[in-house]
Amino acid sequence: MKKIKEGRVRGFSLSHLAYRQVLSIIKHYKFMKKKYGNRVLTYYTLKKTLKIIRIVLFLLLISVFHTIASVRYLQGAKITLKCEGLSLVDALSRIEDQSEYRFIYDKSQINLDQKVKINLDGATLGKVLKELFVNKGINYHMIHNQIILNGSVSEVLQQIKTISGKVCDSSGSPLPGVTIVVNGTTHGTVTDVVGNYTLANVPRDATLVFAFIGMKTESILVGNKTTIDVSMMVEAVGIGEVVTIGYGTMKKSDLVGAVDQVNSEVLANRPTPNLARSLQGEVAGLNISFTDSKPSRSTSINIRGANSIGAGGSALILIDGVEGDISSINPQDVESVSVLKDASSSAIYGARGAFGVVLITTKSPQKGTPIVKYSGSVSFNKRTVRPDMITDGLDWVDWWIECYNGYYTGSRSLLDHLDSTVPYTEEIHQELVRRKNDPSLTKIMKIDGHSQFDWGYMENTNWYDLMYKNYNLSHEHNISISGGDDVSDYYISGRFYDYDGIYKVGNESYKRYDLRSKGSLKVRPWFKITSNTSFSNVHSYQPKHPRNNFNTQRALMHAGMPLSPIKNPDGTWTTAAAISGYASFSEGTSYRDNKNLYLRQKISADIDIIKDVLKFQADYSYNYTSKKRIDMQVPVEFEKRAGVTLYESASAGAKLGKIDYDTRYQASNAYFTYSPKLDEVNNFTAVAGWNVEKQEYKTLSVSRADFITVNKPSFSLMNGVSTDPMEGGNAWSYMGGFYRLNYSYMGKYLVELSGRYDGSSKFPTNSKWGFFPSASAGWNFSKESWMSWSKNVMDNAKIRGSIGSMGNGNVSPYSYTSNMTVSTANNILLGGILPSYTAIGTTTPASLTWEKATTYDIGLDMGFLGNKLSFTGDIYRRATTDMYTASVSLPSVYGTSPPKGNNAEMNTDGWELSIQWKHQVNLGGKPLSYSVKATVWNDDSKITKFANKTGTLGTAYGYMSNGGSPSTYYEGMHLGEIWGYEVAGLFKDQDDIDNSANQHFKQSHDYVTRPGQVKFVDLDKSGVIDPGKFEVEDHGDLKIIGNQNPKYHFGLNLSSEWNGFGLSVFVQGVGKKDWYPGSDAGYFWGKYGRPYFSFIPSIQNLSSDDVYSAEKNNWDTAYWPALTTYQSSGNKNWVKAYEIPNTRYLQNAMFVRIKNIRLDYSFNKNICNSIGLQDVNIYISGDNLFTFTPLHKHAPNFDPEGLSYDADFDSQVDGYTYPTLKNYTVGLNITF
Amino acid sequence: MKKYIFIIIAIFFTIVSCDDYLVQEDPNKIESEFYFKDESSLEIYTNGFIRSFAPAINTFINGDNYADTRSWEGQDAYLTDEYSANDATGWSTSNWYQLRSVNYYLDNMRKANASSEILDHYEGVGRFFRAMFYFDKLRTFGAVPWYETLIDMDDKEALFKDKDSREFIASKILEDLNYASTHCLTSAKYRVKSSYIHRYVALALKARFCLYEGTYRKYHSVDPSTNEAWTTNESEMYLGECISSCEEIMSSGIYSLTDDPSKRQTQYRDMFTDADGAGNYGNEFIWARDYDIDNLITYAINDQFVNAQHANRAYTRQFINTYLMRDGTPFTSKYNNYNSLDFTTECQDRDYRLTQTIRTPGFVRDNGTTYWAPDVTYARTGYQPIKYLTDKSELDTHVSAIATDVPLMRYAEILLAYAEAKAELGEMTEEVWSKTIKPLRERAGIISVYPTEADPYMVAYFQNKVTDPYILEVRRERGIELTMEDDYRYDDIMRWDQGELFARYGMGLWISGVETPLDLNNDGTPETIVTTNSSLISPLKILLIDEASEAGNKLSNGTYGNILPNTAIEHTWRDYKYVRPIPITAIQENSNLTQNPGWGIQ
Repeated sequence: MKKIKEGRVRGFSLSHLAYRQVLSIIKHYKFMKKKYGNRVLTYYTLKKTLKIIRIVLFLLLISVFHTIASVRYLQGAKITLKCEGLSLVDALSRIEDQSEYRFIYDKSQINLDQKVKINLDGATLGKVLKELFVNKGINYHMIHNQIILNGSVSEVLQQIKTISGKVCDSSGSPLPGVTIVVNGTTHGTVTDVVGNYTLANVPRDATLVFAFIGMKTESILVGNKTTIDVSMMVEAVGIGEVVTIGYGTMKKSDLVGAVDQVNSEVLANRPTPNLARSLQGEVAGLNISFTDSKPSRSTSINIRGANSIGAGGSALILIDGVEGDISSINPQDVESVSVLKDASSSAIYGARGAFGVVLITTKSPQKGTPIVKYSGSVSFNKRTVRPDMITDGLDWVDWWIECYNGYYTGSRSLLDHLDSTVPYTEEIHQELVRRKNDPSLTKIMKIDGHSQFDWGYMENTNWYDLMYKNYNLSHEHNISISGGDDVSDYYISGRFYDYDGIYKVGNESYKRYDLRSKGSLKVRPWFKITSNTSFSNVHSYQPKHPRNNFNTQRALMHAGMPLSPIKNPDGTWTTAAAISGYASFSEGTSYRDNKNLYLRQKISADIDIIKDVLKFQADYSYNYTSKKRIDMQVPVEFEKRAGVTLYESASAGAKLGKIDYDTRYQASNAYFTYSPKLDEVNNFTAVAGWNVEKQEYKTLSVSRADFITVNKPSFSLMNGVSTDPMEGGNAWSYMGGFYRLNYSYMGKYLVELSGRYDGSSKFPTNSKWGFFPSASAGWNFSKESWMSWSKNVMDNAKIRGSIGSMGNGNVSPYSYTSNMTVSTANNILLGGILPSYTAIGTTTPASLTWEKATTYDIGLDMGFLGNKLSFTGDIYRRATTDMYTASVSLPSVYGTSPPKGNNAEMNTDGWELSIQWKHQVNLGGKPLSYSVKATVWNDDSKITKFANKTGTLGTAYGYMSNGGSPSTYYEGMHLGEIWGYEVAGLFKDQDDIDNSANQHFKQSHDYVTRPGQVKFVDLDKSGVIDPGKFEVEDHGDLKIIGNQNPKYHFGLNLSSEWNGFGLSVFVQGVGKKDWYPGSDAGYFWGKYGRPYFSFIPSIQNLSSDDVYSAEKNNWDTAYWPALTTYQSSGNKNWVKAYEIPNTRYLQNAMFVRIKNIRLDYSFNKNICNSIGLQDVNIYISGDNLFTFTPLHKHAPNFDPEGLSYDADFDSQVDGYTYPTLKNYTVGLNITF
Repeated sequence: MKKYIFIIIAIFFTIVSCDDYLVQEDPNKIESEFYFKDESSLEIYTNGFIRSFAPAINTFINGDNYADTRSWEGQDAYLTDEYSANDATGWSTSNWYQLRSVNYYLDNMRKANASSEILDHYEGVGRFFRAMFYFDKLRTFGAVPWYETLIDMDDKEALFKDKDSREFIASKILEDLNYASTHCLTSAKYRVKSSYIHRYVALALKARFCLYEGTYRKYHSVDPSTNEAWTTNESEMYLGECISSCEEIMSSGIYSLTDDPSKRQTQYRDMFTDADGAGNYGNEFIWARDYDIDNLITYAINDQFVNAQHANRAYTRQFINTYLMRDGTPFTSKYNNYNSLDFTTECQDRDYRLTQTIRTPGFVRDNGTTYWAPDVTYARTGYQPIKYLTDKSELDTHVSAIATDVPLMRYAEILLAYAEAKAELGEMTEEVWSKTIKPLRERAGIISVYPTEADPYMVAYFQNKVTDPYILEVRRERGIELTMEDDYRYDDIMRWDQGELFARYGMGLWISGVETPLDLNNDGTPETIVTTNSSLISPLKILLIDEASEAGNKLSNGTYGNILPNTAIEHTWRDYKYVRPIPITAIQENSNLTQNPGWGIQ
């Protein structure tokens, strides 16, 4: 078109440009930080940042050379040009390189390809130009340092002008450091601190490109304008985002699998000991639940519901591509977490990825001047629920009497003691009454003639207050240094996390030290070596009950009787103090001490075989995990009678146990990535490689009895018997070859094939290997021409589908061989010593191979209104087949469970929805950006094949231990279903009883049914309430009354930023979950469970209307039945009414929880600079602050996420967990 | 080129040999087929049998809870008509696992490299435990399927077969015991702490089994597994085998009764409360379970005797009446009003084992510092056992550590079995008596009197079905000597065809009148009161008599008489209960199994 076309215009020192650009980008980075707080990385992914930093560094490097060159070749300097057969354009370029002069010409008028022959050494410019042009009939003019070829000066002058203007963001705030480049050239500039710029020598028909990190790039045609002001818009994230996938990365728009990624901003400013806690609820389909808030608590990460009822297994966790323990990583080191949910995305991990893959990518070095960052925080932790209890001794005893008499219906005289912990006599009762009226009297008295005790106790002790702090502290400090240049870079970080225990006594603590150093070296331009080392040292110490691993919460519940003081008048511990564990906590001699060391080293090599086309990567990792556990228990002395010392626990004895768990894991990957440059419309990438892995796990345990000195837990300082050291452990190895092929046409049609051929040592020779392929396709239909009508509202719409099968090789390593163990007996002596013994080896399966999970997934990704609104939805089915379960039902005479085999099948169906709105508006002249993201997901698993010939629902004991879910599986069973009786209400009167079915329960000791007791419904009209044969076909009056698995998980993320302030709220919850309080769950059943339990659930006093009483005859309004006891006390048979789940006491455990609220503020950059810092950000945040749940109506002592038990200890009773904590955090982030 | 060298090197590092790489052995376990190597592998395997077969103390003392000698606290479901095959147990996979482990051992143990003498000994040990397993099954179910090798999961014929006859099972048990009692060795090393299996343990089990089966065949006219007459007449054969087994033990010179004439008031109970009984009573304990504080192999046992919740077991007056006077005459002959004697009188001049079996007036603990009266609030007949109760009350909690050893087979049992078999065969003589019953009685401080006529009390006790004075005296002696040891008494009643006794109501102490404070421990201060006043508040231990309540305690004559606790409980005996039902689940798994007669076709 115009005369100047593809002209080369340079009017600027490149070195200067580069220098300015570096400066301004650094400034902008800080500006962005200030503006968006710590969430600056929201707006550009790591990749992008790196790319920009790389460009900057490249420019910086060039500029250094160029500056030197500029000095040497000033105007008038001599030019050397020696060439023969060089094209004219190259010759011009050499002159430009040696001088400040620039050529301007019209390509159509000058033959640039003509060859020139010139040989000048140190000639002046004039001489060079003359030699070059004159003979060729090319005219030239010089204006300043512009040399115009074959054109009039005026014409050129008219074409070239200087443009200036101001760049602001949408709110009008100036943007410094915006890059402005003439499209198609490297000619450009950057805006200054107040957003102004000037760019000379801009051709009329040029297009200026305004670019800035995190903003939408603007292109503006110059035309007649001399002033161009630009307002830049924030770029919506999502569509251009790069996500990490197996053995590579991919633009989100090109994905055909179900992949979700969480970036570091989600993880920042949430001080937690474990990364998994920060991920909870963030990703649709990613189910993470913690039974409580113990800092050392681990969890299994589950993707898309139940995995396998056979071999089990959970999601594969990879840290920088290598399998690892999620608790081994410092959350502050994490750049992104990618969750691969369907077959398409995880098939490349074959047998390891059957139940999804979680890819954790650690932060990478940032090249340039070393950046030092510090972040620190202090948290105050407080329990979410505090068990409500009776602390008044008299009230407590009155309850006890009522319940006891309720059960024995007065036929049995009261015992003279309460669970052997405190004495009870009529005299003590009278004294209690007297002391209630006169609090000045002593709370203890000498008693005579009692069968067990010398003292009567009349205290009002609040054992909970004695044991637990109101709040506890934790704090965290993290420092990182990152930098590097073109050849090498590094990232070094260190973190200290310290958690102060919840107990007032016992010195519980949790400390964690993390170190990471990551660096790379470019050995050759095509060869890069990266080393990634991390080290974590976790030390947790928890006080223990002195009786063999007894659950502390349970001990407190059973023995923390308010009547009892801590000490007897002679200064010795009371029975309650000893058995509740308080005495032992105070003495600090019984504890569990865990020291875990995680050492991970990965070396990887990247080789560019053909730059940008064919790449080879190989890595080798060695991970070492050492866990050392010390279990100390020392009996506590206490007294019931003066001078007679008793021990808690004498039977458990004084003992020191040490266990070492050692894991050595090695892995190596090698793979090629081939991405040929085809053309604009066809894109192809192939990845292929192989992987080998090997793990050795060893345990060694030793214990010895009787201490010489309890302060030093050393075997050398003990004089009791040692048990024989026991070794355990296993070893397994895997190897596999994998591939992935991606093809896309115009970004519209996407196809992906991937798979893996896997071998495992866990299977017999003939079935070691398995092939697991997947195929998927995507259709970006918004790019179709017939969708052009939607362009204004819809940016993107892609439908995708995948199908694939994967293996699960998670069976225990030696299942196919029959093995025998030799152990040392711990319950019998032979010939005076603890004998070694063995028994018949395990049965071996008839055949054994991989379990298979076949996944079908259909997904839809959409973006609207400039991607302000985005939507992702998936619906899937996972068919798990060949699950490793018992093959057939064999008669009991077989003598052992039938050998397992690949038998059972299960379907898991589910869906996930995620919707996000992201927008920026002006508020008070400042931009207010905000986003709302909502996710909801659900899954349900149903058994489709299982060997259960009789259709039995299991044993009563197993069923009641499972919270009402059958203790075996049957075909058609939905996982988590709760079976139970239906309750019609409470019995009104004897007539009601006479006209109802026979209720053969021990609601009182004599099985006689009385008014006020729970009335069960005779569903099968058999005239008696019974479970039939407890089989699918004959289950008597039982029916499915609920499901204990959480359904309809949801998460809601709200965040906003304005003028340095950031506010975010994260709400998480479960839409449906039923829970039946388990047998012996004292926090729920209270004295209905056992008469001496400390608590009565949700009832404040004996006269509460919520409890049935004969006087009130409130059978229709009371929730709790006539007072009785022993109804839920660990029997787990068909006799104790409340141990069998029923509709009346089934609890709705759905909840909505404000998981996190955070408010932060980034200080103005000028203020920061004035104190010598680059960036300062402070925040306050709170976790688990508010919870809304119907559970609290009748079970206020339970946290909806803490219904389970503390698996570290023996007693598996609902609610006996470490508490769930809420916390309040104040934190600070500084960049130096 | 360099690039490719690097790549080749890198590839080299990541490549391993597939075949070797994918083979991993368990470092801590032995592959079963290589297990049996030498004598020590046999010893270790058989240690596992002892560990799983030897009863633990708590099981041991509770075996007779529902036998005729005890007063019931709570209903025994088995003795109600509601009990059905749905409630039956004893046929689970874990029950049969014991047999599986034994048969696997017997199939493979000869792979070990050892002398034939040692191999025979260890085969005998394995067969001893198979006999023990089947003896238990025989007592429980009568006929059961017999398996003497490991069952293959594909062997449908074996898995799904019906029961073998009781007589066949008994003959196989005898075969195993004959082997064990011939081939097991007698070396002293197997007798250390009475804990291993050797020839005398095998002979003792054989004596016990043969006495059981011999008397069972004699007293039961039909095989309860079929409800038909026995097909063979083997009663005398079994009794003869019992006698020969006993004779071999008695003539071995190894075993004798523990009897120090100066300690007759305490020596009986001392055997059951000795921290090293297994070592100290090696003369009397043929097989024992050894406990040890230092090794933390302990149990809490005192609470089973003193704790209100755990200790609600008490003897019946009917049984206590069988204890002789020390002059050798029956208590029931000395007093016409033997049921209405007060506690103190009742306890005078009796067999010294009485004061060592129950709390009697003057019973002290804690080195004689505290008197312990029977606690009628939970041991409600007043006859409160003390047989395994140790002296120190500080060890009375349910978590206390106690390590007294438990005799599983005593020489006394051999003497009793010998005497009984002889009596049953009509071969009792004064010579036999003086080798057996006489020393047992003398040890208890009783002047032995060779019986001449049947004690009418004993005749009546056993429902007038037995009139032989020798048999009755042996039964008296056996009941007293072996009380609270495993389930001997329960088994005795079953084999003697006396099931009705299980339903006989047990009564307690004589109370001459309510509202009178009682001094049951004779320390001069009353500590107990029996009252009809439900609102009585008293520091004394209160036994409430409640005529109105169905479940309440009663006195036989209203306001005075023998204590009748637990009157609400009714036990019923049915003759089909001589064998328990095959659990319904077992029949569901294998429909070829026939249910025992009387338990319905399920």
